[in-house]
Parts: sequence; C-alpha cells; structure tokens
Amino acid sequence: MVKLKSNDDKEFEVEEAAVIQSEMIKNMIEDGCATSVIPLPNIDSKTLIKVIEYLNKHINMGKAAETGEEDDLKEFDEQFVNMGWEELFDVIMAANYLNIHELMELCCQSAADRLKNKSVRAVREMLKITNDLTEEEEQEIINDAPWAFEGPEIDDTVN
Amino acid sequence: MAKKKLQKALQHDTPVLPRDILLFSIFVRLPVQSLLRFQSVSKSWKVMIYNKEFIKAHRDHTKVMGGKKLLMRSIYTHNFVFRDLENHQVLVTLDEKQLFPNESFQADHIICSCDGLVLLKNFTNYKNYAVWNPPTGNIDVLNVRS
Repeated sequence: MVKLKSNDDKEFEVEEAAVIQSEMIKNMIEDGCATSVIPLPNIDSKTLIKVIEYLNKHINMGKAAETGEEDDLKEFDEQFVNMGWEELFDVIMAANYLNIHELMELCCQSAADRLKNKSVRAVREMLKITNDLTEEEEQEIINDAPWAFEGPEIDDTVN
Repeated sequence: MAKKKLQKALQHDTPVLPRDILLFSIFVRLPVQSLLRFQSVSKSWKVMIYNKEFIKAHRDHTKVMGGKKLLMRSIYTHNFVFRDLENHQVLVTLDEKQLFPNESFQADHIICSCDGLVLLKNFTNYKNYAVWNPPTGNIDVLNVRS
C-alpha cells in the first residue's frame, strides 16, 4: 500500500498496482522515495478521491480485453467524466501533475468534445471568461473565417 | 503591507501557468473550425491558438489520431471532395469558385500534399503555384520564375 496526502492534510491508502499508473509516483517508488506518506501539495482531497476512484477501476486495464470488461470500463469512463467544469479542470490538473496518461487523455477529450460545437458566447459563459477583445478585434477574427462562426452544428446552449 | 500585497499578487498569479497547460491539452484535441471560432473568446485564447508551439502540437496530435482523408476533384464540377479514407464517406465538398474568387486560379491541379497542406498548380498560368490549407481556407500564391 502507498499513502497519499492531499493539500488539505487528508491521507489515502492506495494499492501499489493502482497508484503506479501515475508515472510520477511510479518513479518515486522505483527511486525509493515513497517509503512514508507522499504529499501532493497541488491536489485537494475532493479531487484526489476522484483520481483514486479512477486508478482503482483501471487497475487491471491491460487485462480488460481478455476478461471482457472493456464495456464496463467504457461505461465507467463515461460516467466518470460526467462532472462540472471546475471539477473536470481540477482532475485534469491532477492527472497532469501525477502524469497519468490515460486519465489526462480521457478528461481532455471529454472537455474538447463538450466545447467543440459551442458558440463563443456559450464558451465565455460556461467557463466564466470575460471578453477583453475590442469590437474591431472580434470582427476581424470573424471576417478571417466567417464559415467557422456559422452552421447548424453551432450550439449556443450553456451546459 | 507592501509585502502582503506582493504575496497576494503572487498567489493570484500562480494559477495562470497551470491554466495554460490545461487549455493547451484541451485545444490540441479541437478541430480547426472550433479553434478559428474560439480565437474570439478572449485575448489570452487568441494568443494561445496563434502560438507556434501550439500549432505544431496540434498538427502532431492530429497526425497521431489518424483520420486520414482523401482529396479528389470532380472532373465535371471541378469541386474539391474530401473523403474519409476508412469508410469512404464524403466529408465535405468545396466549390472552387468560392475557394478561388480570383479566376486565374481556378481549374487548378492537385500536385501533392504534406501535413494537410495541398500544392496546386494552374497549367495555364505556369509560373504560379498555390499552397492551400483546406481547414483554414488560406491560400498562398507562389510565383516561381523559371
């Protein structure tokens, strides 16, 4: 077992087989630096719980194809990324820091899929971004590629 | 007091870098059309999407993901047709008159392509070549003196 500590001082025990999906922790273990608790100053407990949930589920991912658990994992992944933007961003930052390639891939792809067809207005509202471009600057961007701003697929809803 | 202010400023600044990593990782997975549109979300989004490192990363990521396309021209309409190489479905048809408002560049022949850029040649206008980037619609005309 490996002990992880979040930045709000909560400790979690994770099986080594699960936690080594994180390249960062795998390297620490190989270098003998993981003898006691591993502090994770960038990750809060709420996010760490999500990450550990993912690691535990994907512990035998290599064998999933043989045991026919692929569909089950796919369903888990779909459910897993079903979270709010702030939460999703926190998990991506944690996956980036811990260097968990598959989790990074899953969450970034989900974010990209959600954003892909959104209108500019919807993106600003969803991610709470203030528009600091002048009207002229904005118009210039639209004039450069007007087709990118029109079409039936563009979605102005916020969710 | 000043120290406190500085500390606060530093604290406020720290999320800026991670936020960039975050957007970078998401943006490489977006299609070009979305990126062209999202340039107008804010100044920092525009800077990031125009960034050379980002453009390279986006190209590399798109290459790895595959999605190879076949580009053909209709001999009747001269339209450019993109098909998915795997299922042969027509993805998009582009009208040459819209692509090349300048008539001297219509009826171009496709010479070759590299990294998604297409080299076109107009045989009646033998000195000119055009490099065309289909997703952005950009066309650079090269004047090659023999």
